[in-house]
Amino acid sequence: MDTELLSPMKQTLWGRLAVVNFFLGGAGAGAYLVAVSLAGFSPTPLVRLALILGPLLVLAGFLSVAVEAGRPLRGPKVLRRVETSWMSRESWAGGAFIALAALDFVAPWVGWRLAAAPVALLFVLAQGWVLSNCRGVLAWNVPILPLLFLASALVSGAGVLSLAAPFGSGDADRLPLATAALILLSGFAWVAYSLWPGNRTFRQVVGGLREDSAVLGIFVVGHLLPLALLVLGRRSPALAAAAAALAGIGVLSGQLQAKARLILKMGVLRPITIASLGVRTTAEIAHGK
Amino acid sequence: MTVERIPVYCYQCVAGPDLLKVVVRDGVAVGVEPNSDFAEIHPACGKVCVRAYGLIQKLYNPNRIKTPMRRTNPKKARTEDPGWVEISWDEALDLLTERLKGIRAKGLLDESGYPRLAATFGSGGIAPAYLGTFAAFLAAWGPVDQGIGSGQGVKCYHSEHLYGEFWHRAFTVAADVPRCDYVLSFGYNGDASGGVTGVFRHAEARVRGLTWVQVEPHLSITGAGAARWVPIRPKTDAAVLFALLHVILHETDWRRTCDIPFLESMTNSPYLVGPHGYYLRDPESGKPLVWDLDRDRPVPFDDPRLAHPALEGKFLAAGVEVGADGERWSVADSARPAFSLLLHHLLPYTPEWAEGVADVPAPTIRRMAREYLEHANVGGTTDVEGTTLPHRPVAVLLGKTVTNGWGGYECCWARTVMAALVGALEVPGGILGTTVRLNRPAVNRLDSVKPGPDGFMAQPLNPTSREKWQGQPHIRNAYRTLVPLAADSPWSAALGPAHLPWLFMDSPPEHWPAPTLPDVWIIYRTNPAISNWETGRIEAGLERFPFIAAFAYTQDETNWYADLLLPEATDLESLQLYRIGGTKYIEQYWDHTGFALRQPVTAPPFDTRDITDIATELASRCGLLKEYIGAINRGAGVGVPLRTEQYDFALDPASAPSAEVVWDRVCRAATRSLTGGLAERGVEWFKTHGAYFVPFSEKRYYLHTAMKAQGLRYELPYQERIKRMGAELANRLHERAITWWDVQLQEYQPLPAWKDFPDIWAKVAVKHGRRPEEFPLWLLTSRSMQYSWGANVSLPILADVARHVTGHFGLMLNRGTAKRLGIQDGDLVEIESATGRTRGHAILREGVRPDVAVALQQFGHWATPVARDFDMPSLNQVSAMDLDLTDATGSSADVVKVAVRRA
Amino acid sequence: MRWGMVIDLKRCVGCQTCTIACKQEHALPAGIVWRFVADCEVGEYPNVRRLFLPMQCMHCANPPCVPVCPTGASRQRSDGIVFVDYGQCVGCGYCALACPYRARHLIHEAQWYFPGGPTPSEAATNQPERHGVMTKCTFCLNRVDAGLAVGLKPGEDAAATPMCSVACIANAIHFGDLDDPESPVARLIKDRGAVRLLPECGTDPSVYYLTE
Repeated sequence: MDTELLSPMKQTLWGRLAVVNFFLGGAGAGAYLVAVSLAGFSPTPLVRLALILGPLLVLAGFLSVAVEAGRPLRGPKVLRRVETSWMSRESWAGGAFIALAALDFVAPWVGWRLAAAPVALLFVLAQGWVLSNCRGVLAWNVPILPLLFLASALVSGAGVLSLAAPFGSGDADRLPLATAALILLSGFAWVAYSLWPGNRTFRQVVGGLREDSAVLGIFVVGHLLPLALLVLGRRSPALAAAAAALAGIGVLSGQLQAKARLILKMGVLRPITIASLGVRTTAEIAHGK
Repeated sequence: MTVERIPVYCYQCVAGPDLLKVVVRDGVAVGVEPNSDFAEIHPACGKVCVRAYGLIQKLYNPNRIKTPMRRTNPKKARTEDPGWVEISWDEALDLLTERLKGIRAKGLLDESGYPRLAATFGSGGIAPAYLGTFAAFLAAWGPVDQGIGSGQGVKCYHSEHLYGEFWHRAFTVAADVPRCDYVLSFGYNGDASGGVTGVFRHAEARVRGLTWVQVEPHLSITGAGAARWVPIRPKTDAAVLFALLHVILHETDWRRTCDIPFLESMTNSPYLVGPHGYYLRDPESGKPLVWDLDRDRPVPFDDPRLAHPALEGKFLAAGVEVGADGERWSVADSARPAFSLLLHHLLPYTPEWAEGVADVPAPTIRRMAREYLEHANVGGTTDVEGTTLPHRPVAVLLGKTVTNGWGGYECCWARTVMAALVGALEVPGGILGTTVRLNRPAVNRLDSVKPGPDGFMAQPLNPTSREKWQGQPHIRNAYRTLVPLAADSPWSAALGPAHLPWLFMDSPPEHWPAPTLPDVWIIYRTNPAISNWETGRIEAGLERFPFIAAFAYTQDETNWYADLLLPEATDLESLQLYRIGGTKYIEQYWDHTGFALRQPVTAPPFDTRDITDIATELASRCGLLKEYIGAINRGAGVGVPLRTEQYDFALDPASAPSAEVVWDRVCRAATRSLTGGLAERGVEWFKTHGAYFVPFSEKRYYLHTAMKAQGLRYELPYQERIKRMGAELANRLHERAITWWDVQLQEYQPLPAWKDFPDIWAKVAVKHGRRPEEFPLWLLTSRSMQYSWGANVSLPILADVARHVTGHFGLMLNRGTAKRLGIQDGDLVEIESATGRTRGHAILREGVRPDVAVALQQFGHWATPVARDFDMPSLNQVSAMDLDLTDATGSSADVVKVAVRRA
Repeated sequence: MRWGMVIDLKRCVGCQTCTIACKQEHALPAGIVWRFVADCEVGEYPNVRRLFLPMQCMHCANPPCVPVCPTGASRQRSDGIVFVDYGQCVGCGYCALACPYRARHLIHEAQWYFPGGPTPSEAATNQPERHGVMTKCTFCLNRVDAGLAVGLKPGEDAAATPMCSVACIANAIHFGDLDDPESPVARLIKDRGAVRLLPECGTDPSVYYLTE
């Protein structure tokens, strides 16, 4: 049996700025994906909104994480190892998404959108893969991470749009429904993640999602409450816009808390164990065997 | 870029010296590396430990005292800023000289007969390697009180020092690890305290298959490498050791399991003991008698026809017993061999009894005894450089707190008897002495073996006879008066009851000279306000010293009270030649011996001075140059006389030589003396090559060869001489109506008995109006290899690496105990004893007995830079300096009963 | 040729001589260690074992830290040594989180031991190129390469051997070519049954431990 020699310890390299990147990147790309999906790639006001918000959020995420790096001015070098590094791929995808969105903004064309959507999808998944390739962090080093990030990104995007929609136009009739569906998807993803099989340390760390504060912040405020608000909006159209906005806030708050917890609290370095180490010593002699 | 590698020695702990090179790049010292030039000669391949790598930072530490400083605030207290002002070296030496001249004008001794000049050097074993010629200055001066302690006794292997030298010329005791197969270690922490050579030997032996059983209250560094850990209640080691002896002698057939020829011919086991407890002696020759089984009558122990002396039984024999002060009894009564008394003495000490005392299961004790005998190889021999010697690969080792304070005598005695029973004393594989510090010549342990009375070695004991006893203490710790075993070598002052000057400062005992303070106290690499027991009391004492001149590295807790700070050149800045190799503590066993040089590796970064130059300057200014040079020429403090029949490198007493000239002469004399005059190397040669060696025979590790050659016996197991010495000392003290040392006098037993040692510490509470139950935990210390002795607590790089070793920087507690007390890992806790309290952060461990707390080393700094931020508790803050806790040798142990609670 | 280490836990006493020798050899700033000896405790009182575990870069044959690096600064040589090209590193920290052995250390900025600025030795050994980038144990590749260049044998000649091994006072750290079956390291692995840390991570480390 393996013997634990060094206890798990929290990683300290990636902090709040990294959380901001994962959160804003997901929300931005997610908003775009949700918008173009709902609009069928037509340049609806919602898509126009996502076209602006999406890349701005992704860019803000990039800038934020760059500040955390030791040598921010060498930032462009991260594009170099696309053949092996998910961080390079994330950067390429994020960069391409911003570029394509910018082109669409300047010269609207469905082609840009058709290209930008898969790139945004790749970007979101790449963020998940960045984490799932961290073999030092048990809670991240699981294959469900990209899917979790996708679900999180989509619901975050829906949240962004729900919050922004009242100020846009009224062509987003299907948004509340889609948001509700994505909330369910996200809830399902986070619950699935929390039940993911793993060793004792993994279970312990991921078990943090069942702590009261997590349940309240992520599942109640981030999922149940928005869902209830959306139902309320459906039943009372007068309240629909406000309910949607509040639901958006709830969703975003939930996903931010979830990602912050994933990076900061559950970002625990795996214990160092060794095989075939007997606990010799006292037992036999102290008990005179 | 120029890169030089400059050879020097490191003696930052007594387990050295070891050799290293300092890497100097473009004049800046940037690194330390092992000296591989001596990989084949040095027992640990020329390596140095973690502390040596701190030397670079020690050199450039910006918190150093950078120039001499004078105190301007006459008030001395922790709350009073000393008001240091920088002065020149000239002013500093003028200031000190003026004080010293004042003493010479008044007389060297004060009204109590104590020297007006006192000097204290930290860690007795280390200072001489850095002290340059300062010892020659003190020798030139005249009487100096070198017995004002800084923690000696309570911080050393005190009983082992005194009894070890008495029994087998063992200032400290080591196992012959390379030839040993089984070690019972009672708290001996050689993997933290044994230096590079200790660690190296142990590691080799573990891989070879040595079985090491560690018996101690908390799992130490050494315990980590042991095959087994046996937790034991603090201060009960003697009980388990007595039980081990009981098992060997009463549960096995000792005639078969023990080394009978050794007991018969190399110990006093067959000596007949009369009804008064003294040897039965031949009335004419005065020689102790033994019972000759062949002739069925008593004969002198050295009767050439004696082949089979009796070890057991009761014999009707006539003779005389000689007690204290020449008291004689003519006896015609039944007498018993000493060994027979030993058998009787040990009868009650069963493993079951010991289990109740020490919380070590009886079957465990039986197993240890059985394994010890199984490995003892009685009758076996081995070859050492072509000579056949007995091979007894078993050893019992004792740790610091086991070998000092009450119970130290009992443990040291039992351990040495354990060795004697199987002949594992001073033979390959067994226990060995390392060096001598009370006997002479200091450089050769075997040469100190000289025939004494009754077939034993001669002993340099302080006399207790009516005529020769020194009733008037010559220094404030009175070692010549109170501790016969402390002898009277240059080391003895530090090996007496060194806390008595502090203890008696306020409340002198009856019929004792009035306490006085020295007019001038010079301190060097010592910090008693941290390292002594009950440091609060030390600080109160320090406030009253009229003039303290401190050789100072940084501001610290003791020199806070000084009047003058003298920043001497430190390890890598000054010049000195030092003896190296041969055999020496803690586990330095070389096959070479020689001298090594320490030298400046770069231009000194601050306004510091080589202490040799300071000593010369002081001697000149005090008008003592002639005497000072004379002392150097005799070899005082420099390790070798400069003039012998073989050579003459004597310095001219009329002129003050530079350090360079002094050490050049010493280098030449040293190499000449090593080689019988054949080789001569000057200081320039040493600066390049680092050290000079000649071979040293491994046979010289074993006292056995010298004892055999002179037909001598070990004074074991029976302690007739100690019994007599104690009785005489009692007579002397009682003649002066001194009764406050009576408890200590009870230690002088011919066969030591178990006393309730833990209770002695538990009772401290009662004395201070508290209940013992209020203090359920034992606070202990343990060695930090990273910090001990190195004068390096102010080096942050040491903290940077020491933090990886558990115990830095907090209080270690058993996890279960902590849970019971509501304490979590990292919590700030208060540690309270009957006499003090301190604070620290809890470090929870499983490898600590539930009734024990452990604070590593001795910290608690409040003035020393860097260390004052450690927030580390110290046992010394809560210990009680108390005569009740002082044993007959003048030592106590690092144990305190405490309560621990969340702060 | 694959450089590797065999660390004998039966010898190690946790003294941290390797830790400080490494710090000095590589002039590591305050707070940074490329290797250290962990003081581990296993079991419950009274059945406790204390064990010292030197931790450092394992120079894995399949190092998770290398492929994740987005700039290519983290690389592996043909002799197995994993190193960081400081000039290429952006200091993102990704490799350190990919490493299951906690072996990578970001030096954020110049960090002196004393508040007043660098000591002369710190100033003389300061390496600004390491600020803001990831650092780690290099198996003392400079010593190894320089030694090889003058015909020395790493693992046997001190000047060509990693400093931790050279400094170790318990002779616990053995260095050599794992691919050479006659090398002392290969023989120790074979004779005394070495183990490696976290085999489940599939990293194929080049650092072996002797536990018995």
